[in-house]
Amino acid sequence: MRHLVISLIFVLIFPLMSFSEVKEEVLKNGLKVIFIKDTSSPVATFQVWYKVGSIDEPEGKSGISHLLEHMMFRGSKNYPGNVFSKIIQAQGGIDNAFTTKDYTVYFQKLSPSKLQTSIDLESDRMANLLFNSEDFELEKKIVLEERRQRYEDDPESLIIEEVIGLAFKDHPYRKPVIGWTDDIKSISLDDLKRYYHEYYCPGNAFIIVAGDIRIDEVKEKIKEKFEDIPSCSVLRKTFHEPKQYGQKRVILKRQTHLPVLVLSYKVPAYPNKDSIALEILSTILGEGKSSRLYRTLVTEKALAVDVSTSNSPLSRDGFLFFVVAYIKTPEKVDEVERIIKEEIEKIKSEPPTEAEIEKAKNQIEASFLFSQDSVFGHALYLGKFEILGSWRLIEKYKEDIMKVTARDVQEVAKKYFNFDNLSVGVLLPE
Amino acid sequence: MKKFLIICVLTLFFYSIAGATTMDFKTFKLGNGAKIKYLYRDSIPIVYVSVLIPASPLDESKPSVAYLTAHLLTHGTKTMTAQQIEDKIDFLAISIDKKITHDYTMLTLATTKRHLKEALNLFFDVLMNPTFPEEELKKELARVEKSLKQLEEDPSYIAYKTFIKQLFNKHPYGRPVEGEPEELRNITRHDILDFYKKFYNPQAMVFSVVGSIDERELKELIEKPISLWQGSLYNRIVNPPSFKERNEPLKIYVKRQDLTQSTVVLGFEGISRQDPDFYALSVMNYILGGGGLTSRLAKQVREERGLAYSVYSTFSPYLMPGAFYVEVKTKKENTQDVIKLIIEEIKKMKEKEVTDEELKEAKSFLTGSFPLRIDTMKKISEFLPVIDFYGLGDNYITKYPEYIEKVTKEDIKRVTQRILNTQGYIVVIVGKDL
Repeated sequence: MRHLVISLIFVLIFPLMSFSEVKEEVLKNGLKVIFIKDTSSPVATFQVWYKVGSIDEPEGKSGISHLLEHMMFRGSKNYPGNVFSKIIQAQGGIDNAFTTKDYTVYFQKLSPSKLQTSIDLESDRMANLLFNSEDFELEKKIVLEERRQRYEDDPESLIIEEVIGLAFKDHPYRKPVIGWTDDIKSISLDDLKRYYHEYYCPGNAFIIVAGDIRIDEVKEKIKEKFEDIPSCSVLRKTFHEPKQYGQKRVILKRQTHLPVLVLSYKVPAYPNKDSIALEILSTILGEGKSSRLYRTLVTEKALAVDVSTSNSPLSRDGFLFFVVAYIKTPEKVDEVERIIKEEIEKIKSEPPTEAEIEKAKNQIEASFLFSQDSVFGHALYLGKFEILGSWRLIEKYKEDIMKVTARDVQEVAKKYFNFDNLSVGVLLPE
Repeated sequence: MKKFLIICVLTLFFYSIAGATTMDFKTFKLGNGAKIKYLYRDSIPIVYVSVLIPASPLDESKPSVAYLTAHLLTHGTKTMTAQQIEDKIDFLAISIDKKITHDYTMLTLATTKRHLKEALNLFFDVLMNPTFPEEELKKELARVEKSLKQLEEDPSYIAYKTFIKQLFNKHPYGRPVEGEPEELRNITRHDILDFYKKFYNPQAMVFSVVGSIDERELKELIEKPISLWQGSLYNRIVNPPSFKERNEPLKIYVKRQDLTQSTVVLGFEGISRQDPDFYALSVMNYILGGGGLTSRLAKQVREERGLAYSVYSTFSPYLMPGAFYVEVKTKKENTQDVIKLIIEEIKKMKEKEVTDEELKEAKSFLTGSFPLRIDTMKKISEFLPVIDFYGLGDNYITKYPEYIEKVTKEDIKRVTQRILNTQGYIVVIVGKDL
């Protein structure tokens, strides 16, 4: 197989970001490789993205994507034992991974001259992961400790987890990425193997190599190691969320000094254009000290210590628009909630000013530029668009943002910020 | 949702540097004493300007004054109100980060090239003409008090705070730079003004400029305003901490009924940044607990026994000796076992030489990973003034690998004997039912 002449799709794109060169290539087994030539510093990153996250998990097995991520550091056929990090670090590199609701990413940051190490290790664990049962039991214990550290003992994360679980009735986004404790405990090694074979394969993954690299050279090395890994096709589930009737609410009492209020509205994701107008709305409402909510709640009325909003337009499916406020005392929670809702009503009745729209666009432009200050961040940014279908969507995304009008922002506020679309969480001191 | 926490929590210059990296930055010394380190980079149309101000808790009359002074710079100038400044920062989509360490204060401006001029005008205005309005101080005090109280719900924060308080006693290194919530009320506007007047003078400041700005613009937009800034130098008078001799461990329990894990901080006196053992300690620490999943502590506690998600060792080499400590979080039931494992590993480190392989790998990592420590313009911008502040030399970037390579097994042995205190360590446990 290795020596057969193969046909390649090789696409040269006009300089996408104008500051760097991006090329892509799809290997014959369906694995896409994206190259970013970025010479701004003498480093490189190698990232393997698997299009699988908690959204894909079977019922009762929440956390399986994340647990598998842990197992990926416990050795593969040609590199048995937990030697991955050791090998990378001994080359002066750093490796890690993270799992989200939509995807799982494995990465190294290292000198461009050491990329072969990444290629060797990542190709081997894509094809030949070992599933040592002792290691598996250990990783389960470690993940349970991680869950205690990040959620059980951290009420601010817990309230967010509760709100997400409340907002979605059926949609898999209701599950926490780390998984629920009982689910984690119930995962067997066979579950994990099945999951790995179903989702960890060339057709469900892509690679991003970025940095001061010689594209042709790296390309050959990648082909050599990855192209013979058997292909696959993943059946994508369709997601469903029943209509919501009425506002939902969860109240959590835990040891905390500041009460936390979380408002969440279900919203669509890109390429739905509403997601972009919501992005602009987010900067107007709650990003920065000049934002409407910060001004009112923190600066003027001094009811909150902090307030901010967030939207995630680059989700695989529609997710949530959050407003999160850290409130000075429990007695002020209701007042803060009322004011947040008033501010939202204001947008519905009167469109934002032109200056606010311009500010939002300046901020989006700046965050786009600053994301390219690091080779790693640059690659991540592209990867998020590739998850949506293609990294080339970035150009369209930028164009779409620049087209958003004050009227669009007002319209999305009307459309999504409603009683029947709202889930509220309150964290109160015990 | 990372597999593990990256353990390089030390700020970037503690680890460092690979041979291949050289950086052709220029240094300008201005008439008023200020220095500018300048590196032209045109890969993205953005610019960073950092300034290091030798002012920190070491110089405070009351805890938190250094922190508040830096934070209040953007709360009003001779020509702008706090709100006008906030509006402008957000509209131009720039940021002015404030970092206060135990040794210095650093501000970093990040701006797109498109807004460079306006961003610089604002940056120099807040730096040179702050007015510290009374009502803004009041608001900020209330905000800081609340967020400090929130921080004190965080078990890591409590454990670390309790630990440094014991180790440094009353020395400024013994408290968080943010201060203590109960002491904020005594702070007056006069304290802030006085601190600013004494310590915010261009003479001792080191600026850095990195990004898409050519030398002509540098002279015009940056050098000029700094040169015009006059001030008289006020010498810092700093006293080293005095450490108590301990012949037995000091154990402190902080009870938190709501927690399922115990957070443990175990440590003792470390070294200063100028200490000749700095490099040997860097290598030793990597092997013991600084090296992520591959460190001895991570192997024992996490990888082989599954007792913790995070465990690491680290040290804080300040102008004067700082701390060396291990932090771990583990299920309540495992607390004592994990502490025992940590002590055993520290003892082993003292008793036996490190292996050739360990030494080799630690050196390769420390020297090889340097480019990653300065792989963004922002990191470079914050790195250059720090090299200057600690007197590491403009050639530090090329020298570092040599310093690390020179470390021998004997050096490591010596530094373990000197630093690792298995008799008189301090251990703080924050958790349930102790």
